[in-house]
Amino acid sequence: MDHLHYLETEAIEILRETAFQFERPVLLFSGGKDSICMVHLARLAFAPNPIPFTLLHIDTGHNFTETLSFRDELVDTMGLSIEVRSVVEAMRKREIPEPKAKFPSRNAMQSFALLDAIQELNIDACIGGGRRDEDKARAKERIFSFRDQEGTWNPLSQRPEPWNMLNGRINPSENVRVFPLSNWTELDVWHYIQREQIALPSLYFAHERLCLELPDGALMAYNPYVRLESTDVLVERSVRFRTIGDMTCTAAIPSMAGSVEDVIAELNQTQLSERGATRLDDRISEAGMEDRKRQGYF
Amino acid sequence: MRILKVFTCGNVDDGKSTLLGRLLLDSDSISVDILHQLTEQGGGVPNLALLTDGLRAERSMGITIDVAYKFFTTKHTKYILVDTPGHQEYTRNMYAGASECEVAVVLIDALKPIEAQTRKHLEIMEMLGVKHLIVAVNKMDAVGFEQAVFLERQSEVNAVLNPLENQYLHWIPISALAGENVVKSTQAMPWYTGPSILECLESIPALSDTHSAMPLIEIQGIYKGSAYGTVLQGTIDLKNIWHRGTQSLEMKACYVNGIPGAVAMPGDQVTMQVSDINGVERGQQWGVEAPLQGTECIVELCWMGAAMEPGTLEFILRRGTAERMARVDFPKHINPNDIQHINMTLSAPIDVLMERIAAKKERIILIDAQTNATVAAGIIKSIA
Repeated sequence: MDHLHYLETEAIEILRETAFQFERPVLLFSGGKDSICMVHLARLAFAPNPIPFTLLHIDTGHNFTETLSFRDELVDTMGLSIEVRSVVEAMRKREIPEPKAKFPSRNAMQSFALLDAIQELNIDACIGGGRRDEDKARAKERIFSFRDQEGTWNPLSQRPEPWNMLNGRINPSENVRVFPLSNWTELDVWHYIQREQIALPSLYFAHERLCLELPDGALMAYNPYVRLESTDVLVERSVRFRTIGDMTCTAAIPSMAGSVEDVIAELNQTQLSERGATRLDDRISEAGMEDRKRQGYF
Repeated sequence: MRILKVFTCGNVDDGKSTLLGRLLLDSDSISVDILHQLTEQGGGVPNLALLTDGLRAERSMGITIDVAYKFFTTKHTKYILVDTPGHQEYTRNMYAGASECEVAVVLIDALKPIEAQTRKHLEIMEMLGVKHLIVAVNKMDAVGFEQAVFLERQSEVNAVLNPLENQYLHWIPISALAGENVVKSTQAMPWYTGPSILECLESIPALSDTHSAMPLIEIQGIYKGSAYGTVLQGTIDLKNIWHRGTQSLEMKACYVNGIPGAVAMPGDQVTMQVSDINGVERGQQWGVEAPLQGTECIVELCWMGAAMEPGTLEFILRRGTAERMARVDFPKHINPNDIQHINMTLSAPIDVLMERIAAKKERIILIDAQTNATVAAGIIKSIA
């Protein structure tokens, strides 16, 4: 079987199981390529009927404007419903001060806003775009990943999923994170975008941008949140983003890739992993992702 | 590009994680930043086992506890590699990981006679009906690449293995640590002229045996008057499908994977707008022949919950999307990871095709109604 066909039908089956096993599922939408693919897959899964999921965007307030306008246009043209919840609001509630670092990332604080939204909207399943190839803790995670009442992931007692039989039964105030793209790689996603001609935010393609060049060579988009120092070097470069997260923690990569075909050719040549190349937050520690997931992260 | 699911198993310390790391490393599937990290942790040489032991507890204990999924591609194939635990107490995770794979790579340690846990893995492979079995005798470097040792292990395995009619066996002497016969063919064992593990995987033909089977759809649910289903087997023309084999359906419109169309293949996700949705339910099987309906089953069960005393208990049984209450009789004490034939009685009949029972395709899980945990998985051997 063709691998894209296999991955597509597997993802559709997972999305349908989510719709039929849960009462109030939401689709976590970040404006990144993975969540855009999921919206496309959800449309195919339930065609000709409308997508039975509300989108949920956890907004750090540090998004690229391109991401937000793409989000609004997608919601408009596809007639979707969306809830947006603010990370700043969740921080204020808990009296968590703004991060003071040079790159003041609110990324880790997204968990608070997500857990608040789960409680407020009585959500029983959150569909996320996480892929097993992103990180070695994710490589261990189930497709229906159980969260207890505190929102905690317990990696040592996961429900077995023989023959992909997904057990979504939960008690009140527990929830399940659902990962339809578990078995996709970054390249699979791009090949699928190419095959299905899925539109993406312009950030994913090469463009001229004013960037901060870090000592290790990483390029950070110049933005109003970064705390500039006198020694910082600003350069104008042709770049694109391999992942779209916050402006404060997502590095750009030097690139001339202006089309989906160019991006695929570029990825075939690259020597760096997706997160290694672009995420400052993942360089912190080896168990960074496992620890964040245990605390309720996506 | 085709897709192939492969899992590795073997006793603890037989080198499974090292083998996977070697496959990924020698096929250039590890990014330089990850390789740099592994090399630092390995004190100069990449510690390949750390690539798949992704949890804190695994790294601190130095063992694989749960299944890890890794991917790599060659020119024609996307591989989903499932690294499954070797420890006896995590057999359930190994069973679940193996359940969906077409190929098993079973590692045997050249240094010692095969052990109980390896026998158990071979038994599970037979039980699940895994089609291709690659038996890799590992650590050949540690026995001077001697053919005699390889033959000795081969005869030990042959003594316990009863491959099914449609199971294929492939024997390969390897050194995962040194990379002999994993991706590259060996120089060190001139007496072996067969393929490396990767060459063997590449030569395994794409599986298509479910295309010619009797057409069958399982209903996932109803939404806005449409029936949603998944094609379990066969090539199906949705215009000719029969509701549970007994009632013809007036199909107003149908979709395959979201696109209008009527011809569907195994795995395809279909949407059917029928004239009358009454009586359509999640868990039904639709095909061209009336299914059997049964409540009394014998199931070959892999127990995944806590130890149980003999007795009768109720569980929720899932078969695909069908759910029933099941009264389960445990004739004797059952421990976690035990495999036993168990009788159970369902609260209401489920649809079953005899040919799917024969093909080991009727699979179930049991769910504890209080904790909602998945406590067992198994294959229906008979139903009446």
